[in-house]
Amino acid sequence: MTAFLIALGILLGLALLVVLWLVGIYNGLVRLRQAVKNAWAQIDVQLKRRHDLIPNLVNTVKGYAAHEKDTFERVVNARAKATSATLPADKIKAEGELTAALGKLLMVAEAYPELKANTNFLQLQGELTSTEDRIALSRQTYNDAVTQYNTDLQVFPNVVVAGMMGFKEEPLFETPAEQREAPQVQF
Amino acid sequence: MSDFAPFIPWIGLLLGALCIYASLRSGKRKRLVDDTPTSKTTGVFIGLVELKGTAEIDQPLVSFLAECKCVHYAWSVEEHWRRTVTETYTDKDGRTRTRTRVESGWTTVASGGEMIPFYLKDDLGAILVRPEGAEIEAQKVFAQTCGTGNPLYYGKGPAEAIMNSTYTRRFTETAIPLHTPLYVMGQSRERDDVVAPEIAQDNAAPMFLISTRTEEQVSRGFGWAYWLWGLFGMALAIAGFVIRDGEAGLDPGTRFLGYVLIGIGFILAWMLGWAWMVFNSLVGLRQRVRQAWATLDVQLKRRHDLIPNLVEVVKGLRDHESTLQTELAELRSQAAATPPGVAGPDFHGLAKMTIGIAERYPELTAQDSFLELQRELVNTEQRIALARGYFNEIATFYNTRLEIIPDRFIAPIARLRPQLLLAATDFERAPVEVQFAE
Repeated sequence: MTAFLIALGILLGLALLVVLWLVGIYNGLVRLRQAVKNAWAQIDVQLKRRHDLIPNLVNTVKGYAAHEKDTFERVVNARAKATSATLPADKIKAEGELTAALGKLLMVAEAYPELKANTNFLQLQGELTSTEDRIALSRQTYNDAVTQYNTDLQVFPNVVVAGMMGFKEEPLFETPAEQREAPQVQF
Repeated sequence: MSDFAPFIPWIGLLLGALCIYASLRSGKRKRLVDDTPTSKTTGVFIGLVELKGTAEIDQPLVSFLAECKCVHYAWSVEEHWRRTVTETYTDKDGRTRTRTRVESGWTTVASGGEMIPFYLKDDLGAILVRPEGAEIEAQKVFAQTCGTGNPLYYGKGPAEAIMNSTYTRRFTETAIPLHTPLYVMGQSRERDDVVAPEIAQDNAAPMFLISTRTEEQVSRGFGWAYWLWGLFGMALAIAGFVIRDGEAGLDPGTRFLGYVLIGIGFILAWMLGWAWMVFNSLVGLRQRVRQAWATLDVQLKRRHDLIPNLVEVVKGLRDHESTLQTELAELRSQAAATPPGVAGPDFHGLAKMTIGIAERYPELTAQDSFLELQRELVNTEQRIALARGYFNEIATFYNTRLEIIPDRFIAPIARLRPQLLLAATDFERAPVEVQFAE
């Protein structure tokens, strides 16, 4: 009788261990699947950042460029007007306009020595690059999460548990065929 | 003693099973080292990567004993002791006797070390490595045994002596000196401070190793561990039975056949474990081949999204600059048109201002933008080329595994198929003609 009880106890103990082990595998898979979802959301964070940031940056750069161009045009026009003026009264008025326009341009150039349009454009180029780098890195992080999950899904004995519990492989990042071609740079 | 004897074989078998585990773990790590292509620092993607380069940092550590510039060091001071012990024992006739014995040994009296994040530099660039949590195989940079006469003895060791000290100390230090070639295998992740990857500890990663040995040496080391643990385990499994038989008063020589059977059983268990390990390793490798393909896709997508926009920006600047330069030229000519003392409109006072502005706008400023675009085009294509190269290499390792013996017997169980390599299409193979004429 006691021998039977001991055997039963051992069997129950073993069964408990197996159950705990299966639960461990299941929980591990659930965690990795959640990590995949999180990594996917992180890409969205970066895409959203791009969507919100880049148009505004472009508009800022455009605005500055327009301002710069406008200031220059005003100086050149005032200069031309002053040169062509013959009457002393016109001349004084034209020179006054010219001095004001030049002063404004000098002020812009002095106040923001680093903010000339070309610097702005360069910064925009840099920000575009680093934005795409961020997106690329977050996509790679997603790929790695998928790789860990899919690997964990396919190794033995997890593959058995995954099959029973209906875990499915997650897709890796894919670029549509037409976007895989090199873009043509043309000026 | 004899009450305990029946359990000895079980202990032997258990230790043997642990040795099988250690053996297969080494085998798995060897396969990981062998099947992972070496990435360039600029081609590092998020995931498990293998890198080769030198350790570099602007402000290195200075090691304690050897005082060499390094990125990691660990030192220890051991002191020698010797003592005479008297022990009581019972001899064959049941009488209690005493005898003296001299014991000696080394005790660690002081130790320490430090490590800092460093850059791993190769021919294309550098990447940050955070060594916390890594298995570090460093070089021995200092080893000296000395007595109290040496200034080192008290200079770098503690003032107090231990019990029974013989006043001999052994100073040893291992370090990763600056500019040492390193082999690194670890998980990369995104850096917090800048948009770049870094190598750091990750609990989910199968390996994080920083070694001053070469890849071949590391791989061979795992290979030896694989076989030696296996043989050691077999010896332990058999030894358990031999000892029990000895305790039971049986002549082990007569039970030779039994031991051979146990050995064969052990080998069968080991082979089963081997098949399991290889199955998982191959399945993991296939997934990493797919990851390499997806990394390439990420880089292609980056090119597709980035380059047209960069080109638009450069175009925008070019148009803006051309308008501006026309106006600047006019300003310059106007300033020059009215030299002092010459008849005509007198803008004497304004000439200085005009020249000042013109100087602040040097000509051809769009050039920087064009240069930057060229750099980014090169960088982008370089990334893509590295991703393609990596894919081809890992796919080759994978295809090789599917063909070699004994792996090819496991591959069908996992239903593994060989992977096609990437190749250039015919028109891409032709040399590129550079033409500037429209």
